Formats: sequence, C-alpha cells, structure tokens
Amino acid sequence: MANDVFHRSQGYPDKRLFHPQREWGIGVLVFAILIISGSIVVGNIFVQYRGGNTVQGNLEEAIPQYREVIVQDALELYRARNEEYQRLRGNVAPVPLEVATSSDSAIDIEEVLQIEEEEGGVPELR
Amino acid sequence: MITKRTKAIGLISILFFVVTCIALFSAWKYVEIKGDKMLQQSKEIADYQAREQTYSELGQLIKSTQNDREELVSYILTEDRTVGFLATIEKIAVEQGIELVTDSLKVLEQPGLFNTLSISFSVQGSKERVYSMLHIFETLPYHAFVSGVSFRKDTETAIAEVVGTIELTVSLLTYD
Repeated sequence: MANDVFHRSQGYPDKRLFHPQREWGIGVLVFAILIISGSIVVGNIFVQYRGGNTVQGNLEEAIPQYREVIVQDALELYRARNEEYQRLRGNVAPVPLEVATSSDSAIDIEEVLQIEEEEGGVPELR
Repeated sequence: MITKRTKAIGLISILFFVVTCIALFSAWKYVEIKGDKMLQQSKEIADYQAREQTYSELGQLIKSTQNDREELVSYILTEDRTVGFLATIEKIAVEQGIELVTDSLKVLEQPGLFNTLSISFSVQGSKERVYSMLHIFETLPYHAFVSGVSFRKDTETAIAEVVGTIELTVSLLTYD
C-alpha cells in the first residue's frame, strides 16, 4: 500500500488527512451495509407477523361427540321391545287373583325353560 | 490541518449516525413488541370465534337431536320414576291375575352414568300367567333384564300353579 501511495504521488509522501474519494467510498459502503441489514430485519419482521390474520383458533375443551348411529340402533331396539311389551299387555285380559291352597313342590329352572321352549313362549333369558 | 468546521461536521455526522441507529433499534423493538401483542390478540380472537362456532354447532345438534334423546331417556329409569315403575309392575301383575310382592329393592352404585337397581319379586299364580308375566318382564321398555328366576310348582291345586321369585335388574340413571 505504501508503495502504491508513493508510486501514485511520484515519490512524495501523501500528507492529506482527508481523501474525499475514500471517505465517500466508506460512506457508501456503510450506507449499503445499513440498507441491506435493515432490509433483512424488515423482511424478517414482515414474515413473522404477516400470518396474524390467518391464525387458526383451537379449543382446549373436549367436545362431546353425538354418535347418531348408536342412538338410532338403540332406539330401534327399544321401539321393537316396547311394541312387543304393549302387544303382550294388550293381549292379556285381566283375571281375578287366584289363591293357592295346596302345598308346593320344587321344580328347577331348566324344566321351566324346557316347557317354555315346547310352548314357544318365553324367549331365552339373558 | 482540520478546520473547526470540518470537526463540527464530523461530530454532527457521527452524532446523527448514532441517533439514527438508536432510533432504528427502538423502532425495531417497538414493532416487535406490538407485533407480538397483535399475534396474541389475533390468537385470542381466533380461539373465541372457534369456540363460538363450536357452541353454535352444538346448539344446533342439541335442537336437532332433542326428540331422539328424549325418547332414549324415556327408556332409562331414573330415581324419580322408580315408584311409578314399581306401580306399573304391580298393575301388570294384577292384569295378569297373579300375586306379586316386592321382596327387596337394592340400588348398587356403579361407576359412570348408571347405577343398578336390583329388584326381587315373589310371584304366585297359574303357570301360564306367571310365564306370561316373565315374558313381559323381559320385554319391559327399559334398560333392564331378568337376572334370575326360581319357580316351584304347586301340585295339589286344581289349577296348575307356580310360586317363585323373579329378580329384575334395571339400570338407573344418575345425574351427579
């Protein structure tokens, strides 16, 4: 660099403190650095906050689910059961209460169910 | 030699540069703080709108399913309808012409929505009527089932009679 200065000044040392071209160059360089870094910062801010309008809300509360298929299945089951119940109650005419007058003997439930199967009456117990 | 004017211009330039840097940095921090606040408020608004929409949908669901739900609840016994239920059972027994006595009534607490009501009946009557009663018990329009049956045949009467017990288990809806 010293050689270059002496060469350009033809052997005379440069005594000037200010070199307008150099200072302008430094100024333009600093300006360019500031503009570029500022642009980067502004770009980051823009990217960071541009999604503010499209934020998706989410609920922390658990939303109860209505399972319509299960409800309809249950309703069909109970409607059929209710119809059968109404039919059975409607078919039977009220009768006077009979009073038992004799001793009892034990029978087991298998015998009862067997009789019912033969008569086609009571369905299988659950 | 540096003139005073040059020094003043240099100092003013440096001062201007520093002030500008401070102003830019302050503006940057201000924008960042306000931006964060805006994002937070946007999130709260979005959450509120989502909640409002969900409540609206739930309200419509409640309205549209009201009939089905009411019908379904009518098939489940509640504590306040238990007395009526027992009265109905006794009425059925009268209709069937059999003698029915409620021996025991136990509420078994269960985890979840339902408790279990266990009822034991003593029955006496003609075989056909008692079996018919049993059949009616099995088709009761409630979430219920016959959990036990025990019959004894009365052999010495003119009409074939049976005596025994029927245990009925009914789900009982709790509102706790």
